Amino acid sequence: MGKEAARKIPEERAATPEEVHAAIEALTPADWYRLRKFANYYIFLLGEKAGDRRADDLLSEAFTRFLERTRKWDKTKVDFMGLLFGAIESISDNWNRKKSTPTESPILASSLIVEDEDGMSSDPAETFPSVSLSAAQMLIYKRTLEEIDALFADDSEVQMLLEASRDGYDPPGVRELWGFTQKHYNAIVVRMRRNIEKAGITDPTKGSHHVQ
Amino acid sequence: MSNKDRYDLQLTNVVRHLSQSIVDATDEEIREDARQAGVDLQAHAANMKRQFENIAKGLRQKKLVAAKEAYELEVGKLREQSFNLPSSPTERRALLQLVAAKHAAGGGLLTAKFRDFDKLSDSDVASLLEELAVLGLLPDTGSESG
Repeated sequence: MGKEAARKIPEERAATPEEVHAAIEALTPADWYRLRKFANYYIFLLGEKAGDRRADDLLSEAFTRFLERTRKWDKTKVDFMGLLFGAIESISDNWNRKKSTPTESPILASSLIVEDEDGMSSDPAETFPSVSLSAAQMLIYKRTLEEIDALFADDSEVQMLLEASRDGYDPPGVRELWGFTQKHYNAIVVRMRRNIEKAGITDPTKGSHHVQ
Repeated sequence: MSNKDRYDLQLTNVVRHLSQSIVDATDEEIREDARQAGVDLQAHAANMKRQFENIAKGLRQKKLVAAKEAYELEVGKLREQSFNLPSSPTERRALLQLVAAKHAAGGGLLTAKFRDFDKLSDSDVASLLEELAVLGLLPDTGSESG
């Protein structure tokens, strides 16, 4: 998504700040919930690198980029929700690559993005190699996986989905591997999502999923 | 390469199924998720919109501050320049009238704002002449950087 957005978008196809504003105004209550939950998953995955940042910060960063046009929206290519999901993923990836120290001052990541005279955006953070995880954070990820496994110990279908997804199968791959129909897969993943939510496992504000 | 000990990758893969399921969820499923989580969707959306409005307002203010700073910079540059204007108020007013008449005759650039010379204070006349000098509209009154 980051690479997609960085491609040159002709000015006449790029949404104006007013159009972005109107698209945000048109979001439904369900859309807002989707966006926040989606952002929450990515903050959860950032673990210790999220610092004090939460889903709202991730969303704010995405909105800021489009309103300030450091990232542009080609309305002919993608709908606004799809654009935001991609931006959230990309920003979270950038944050993951940034090395932080206690003495560093936090700055708005969008302020780092520059656009050359051809309208090509570039984010210096994207050129940084991924920073390796601390052993403590890796241990927390391991424990989180164990928590999820334990939560579904009696649900063989979720176990099948978990096993395949941990091995890197994407949704179509999981369906093919286990012969699940789309409807069957949806039912399993929704069950998994709601139970994980109820247990607060992927909620960065609950439990000890971050290195303290 | 095996993911066996890469718990970060394993968890990321699991969470990607969850995040994709949120993207694909119908509105009805979302309403049920929210109900089970004890979240009032309308109140949640109102709160999120409020946060967005604050962001938008902050960005607008940032633009206003930048525009104000740019304006003040330009005004400062104008103040730093000195102009070869007539020394007396009467002569300056006469010069302004002359320039206005010249431009009016040529269907020029000056607007009605400049016609009521009697209502302009001496300092307004001086300011207008300085602006006209910057625009290169004054005869024989070049400007010098101060």
